[in-house]
Amino acid sequence: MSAALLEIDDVVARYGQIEALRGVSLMVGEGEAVALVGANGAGKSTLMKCLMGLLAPASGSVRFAGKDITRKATFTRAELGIGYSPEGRHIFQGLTVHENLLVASRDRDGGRGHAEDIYAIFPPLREKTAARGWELSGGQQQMLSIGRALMLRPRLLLLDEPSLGLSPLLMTEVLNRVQDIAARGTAVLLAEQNVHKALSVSHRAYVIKLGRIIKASASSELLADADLTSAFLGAY
Amino acid sequence: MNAVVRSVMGWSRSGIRPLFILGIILLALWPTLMTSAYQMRIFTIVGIYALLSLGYQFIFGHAGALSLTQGTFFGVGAYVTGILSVRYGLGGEFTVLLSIALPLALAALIAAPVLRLESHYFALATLGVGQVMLLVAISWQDLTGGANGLSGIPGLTLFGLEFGKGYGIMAVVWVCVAMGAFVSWRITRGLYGAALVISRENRIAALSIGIDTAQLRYAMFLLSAMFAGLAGALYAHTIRVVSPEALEFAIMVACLTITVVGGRTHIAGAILGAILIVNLPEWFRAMEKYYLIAYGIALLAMIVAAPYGLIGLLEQWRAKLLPEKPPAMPPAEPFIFVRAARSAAGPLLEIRDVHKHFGGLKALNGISLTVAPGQIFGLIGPNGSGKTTMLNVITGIYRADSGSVYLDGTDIHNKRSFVIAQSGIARTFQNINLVEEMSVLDNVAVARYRFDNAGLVQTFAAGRIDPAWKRARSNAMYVLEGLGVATVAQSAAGSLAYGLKRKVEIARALALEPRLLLLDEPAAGLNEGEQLDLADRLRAFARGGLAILVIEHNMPFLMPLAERMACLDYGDLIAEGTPAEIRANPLVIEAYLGTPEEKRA
Amino acid sequence: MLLQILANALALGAAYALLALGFVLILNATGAVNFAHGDMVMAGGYVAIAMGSVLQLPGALLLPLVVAVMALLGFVFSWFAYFPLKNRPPVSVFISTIALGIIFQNSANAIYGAAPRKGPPLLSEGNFGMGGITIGAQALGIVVVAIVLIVAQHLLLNRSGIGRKLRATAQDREMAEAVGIRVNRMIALTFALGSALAGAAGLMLSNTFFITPTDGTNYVIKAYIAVTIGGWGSLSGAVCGALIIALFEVLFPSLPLLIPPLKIIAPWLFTQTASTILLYVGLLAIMFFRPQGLFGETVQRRV
Repeated sequence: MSAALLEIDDVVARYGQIEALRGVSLMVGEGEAVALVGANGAGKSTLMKCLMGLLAPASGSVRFAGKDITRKATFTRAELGIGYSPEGRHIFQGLTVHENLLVASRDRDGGRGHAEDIYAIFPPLREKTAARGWELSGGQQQMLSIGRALMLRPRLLLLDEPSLGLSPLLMTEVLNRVQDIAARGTAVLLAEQNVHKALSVSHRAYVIKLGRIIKASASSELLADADLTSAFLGAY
Repeated sequence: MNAVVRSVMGWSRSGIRPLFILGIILLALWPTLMTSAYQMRIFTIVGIYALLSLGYQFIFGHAGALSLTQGTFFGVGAYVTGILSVRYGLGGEFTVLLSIALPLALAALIAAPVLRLESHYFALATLGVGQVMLLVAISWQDLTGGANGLSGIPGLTLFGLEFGKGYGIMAVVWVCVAMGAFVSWRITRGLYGAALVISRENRIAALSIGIDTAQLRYAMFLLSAMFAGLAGALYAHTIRVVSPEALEFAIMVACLTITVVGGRTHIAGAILGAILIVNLPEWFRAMEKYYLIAYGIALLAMIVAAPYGLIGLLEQWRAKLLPEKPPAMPPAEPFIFVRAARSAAGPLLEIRDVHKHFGGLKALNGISLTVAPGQIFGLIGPNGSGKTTMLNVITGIYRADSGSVYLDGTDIHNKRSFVIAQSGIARTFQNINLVEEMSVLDNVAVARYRFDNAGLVQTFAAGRIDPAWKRARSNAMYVLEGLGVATVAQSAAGSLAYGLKRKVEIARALALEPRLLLLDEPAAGLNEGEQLDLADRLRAFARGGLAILVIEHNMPFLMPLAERMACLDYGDLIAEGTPAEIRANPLVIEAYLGTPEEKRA
Repeated sequence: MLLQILANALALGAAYALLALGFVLILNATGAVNFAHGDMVMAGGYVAIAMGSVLQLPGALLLPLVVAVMALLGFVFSWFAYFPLKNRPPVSVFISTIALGIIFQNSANAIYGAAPRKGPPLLSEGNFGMGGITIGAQALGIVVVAIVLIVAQHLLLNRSGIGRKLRATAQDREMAEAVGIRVNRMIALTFALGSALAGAAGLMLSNTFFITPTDGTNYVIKAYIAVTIGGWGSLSGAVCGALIIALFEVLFPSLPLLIPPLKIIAPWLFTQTASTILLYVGLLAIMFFRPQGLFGETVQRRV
């Protein structure tokens, strides 16, 4: 059982008057790949934003490596070692691929050395290293978004819906890398709508429905679970 | 008679209205309490600035465009009055009219290049105009009297009646304010008012439902110029002198401050703001040299703390303390919103050899395809293959580099997007484009704008309740029922869950009575049950004659729904056929779906 | 004669270039159009005058001090005009900068009065003779200083780590924070930088053109015209635009000197006032025919 790297305790969060998270608790251990699956609107992205400090929870706490980070600023969380690849990718459109990577680095050499490692993980980026962000396709942008987050040398990587807008082929390619990343020691929390793919690349999974965790188990067991189907079928 | 009294009583008791009535009474009583000619003069100036600000609200508040020419129009109006009455001895009937007409002409002239600019660029461009007019006024000495201006402007005379100093001119000014308020209230309500709201809150959405946002902004700009010209004329008759001061930026500053402090879309805001801002230098005599600094501080404070002005703030408090009952949901008025094509034979949509590139990137490489009336057509392809670009070319957001797009035989490829929407093509967007603060019902109702003669004049001339708006809301109700979301009609659009917002957007598109509906990833955000429900409804609409083009990645949703499909890859059309044919096509499989063995080695 | 005029135009253009650059920097970094930018230039001029009367040093030595003061002023400015409004629509910031511009203008008026004042010269008021042309030392100094500042700014933005961070902040503030950039510092730094450049321009312009409290409005319009000509957001475009404006402003009224017949045909056309009017009318014309600027290209985003 790996040491708890990320502990989320009973987080409640609101978007205006809508309660998007109604008391969510979960845990990610060192080097673990954990999936968070649920329909769109269930609260996955909301949780990611709370974790990254882009949304303030109404109550509850978030602990990272033993520290309470519930109210900490976004850049502090990045400095502490949380990397974030948001829904919609959000790469810096006017910067080149190379600059996108360097800007996230805090290494002495400005990140040039580390960037080579990233190109090794995502070879298509090497071909496009001088291209501006807006010139890239969706799949390339997704790879860049993850690569950029990795430049921070994070202990935890937050991936929010990496498959959104990608063809099944690209989605497979990207999510397979996720397994590699976890294997190298970076913990991953993967929020995904594509259940089967997410479960196939993760060790454990949580199912979230309407702002609540309704199931937690090993990914392999979850694939055949009835509660899982109920999270997706049926009206709100 | 009783019914009228009851309705007036009812109206006057609801919401903030008791305060308004109190305010109007106080305003009317104030002149009786005035003791000196000086106080009367101040009150007159307050009225003039209120009128100026009322006009400014059209372009700045309702159209949402930060214009910096309001002061210039004011100055031009003042100069026209000054020049015509002093140099040519014309009476008020002519000078007032021309003082309105000349700023109107100037506005029409400069509108063409500057009005389509984004807000702050528009502001700076209009600033340039102001500088030019000031320079002209100072240099053209023969006409304007140069830096000294013209003095000895007579009092206002209209058809022989004199409205001189004191009560006379004051009464005229405040009558104009009342008339201006009436015009403002009438024009910005109902369907036209709703169209104004969506045009300023979400321009793309407004264009997609056939609203000519540029025309609305133009009308508001001209209106604001007219009000400013009138205010300028009255000003000249009040202070009996016109000088380059009337064209200086300080007047624009005062106008902007009044509007921001009072409330940019509230009529009462213009009056309250004027009272405060004009009297500021009077109340704080010691600050005479510094009153403009005080304006700056007031402006900054307001924009930070209360961007909707004092009246906006009052409204917010009122909404919390004395919530108004929402208006009753209108009955649904059925109408046929699924329009069959004019010619049953021939394709409804024909895309012929369309090319589109961005810089060096070929987004569409000679695409040709057709969609028949009442057909559900699916468009798939990997990310970046050109699907959304195709949609944007069809709806006129992008112009194709070559090739054509025919709707029911008419070439639409060069037309502007709102014209295409009016021709019968409605769409939804990947990112939801609803107006968050408006109710669901109103969001859909505004799509009826082009159907119900909702012009500026019509809205003004309509009775107490705008019948076009009533009809639009009833029709909207019907469409909402047709999509199964009538229960949330009164909710603010921003408060809904993603899936419901999606459906409301589709409802809005349908309210446009389209012949062709373009859906961009409609299943995203819907759970499986909702997807099945949506697919059923879309099939029903198609049976009624509506052609639907669906972009999707979600194969379990699309395959059973579409009758024909096409697949794009890197801007090329690589396959077309029935869903079964597409699924079996090796090119499609390779480019998009991936082979089943495509797993980890 | 022509060369003389061109030299003057170059000097004016150099000052305008600094002004336009600062404007675009703030625009890019914050999406905010700083209406008070022209008033920053005016403030720079008055700061130079204040310091000059106290310290009795030539402008070139005062320059770093003025730049430092203006940078500080820009920093403070951002706290009032930008940070309280950073989550609101951009027009709110525009209005807040209008408000601050009003405060600046009228404060200067209250302190110094409306009469024009002359700022300290960069080096001396002398002239250099070079190949038959007499170039004012001031003009030469302006060009040199401007070139140095522009090159420094370019290197900073495009070749340095902090420049990358500034650009990333400009493009996507939330994401920049998520990769560990201290966004508020970057934005405050940008305001400081923009104001410093404006202040430098102000010092240089205050000697040749005098300074009055209401100059700010004209300067910000010039910056705007420069950016319009050069294309929104483009730094090099802004510099080009500034040079074009300066060339027009200096050359056009001087045409009768080069082509004497013009003086007889239309003497009223070749005045400073008329050239200003023509400049603004030209702006409107450019807006009408090419809204993306003379050299601008609409950047296509992948959807």
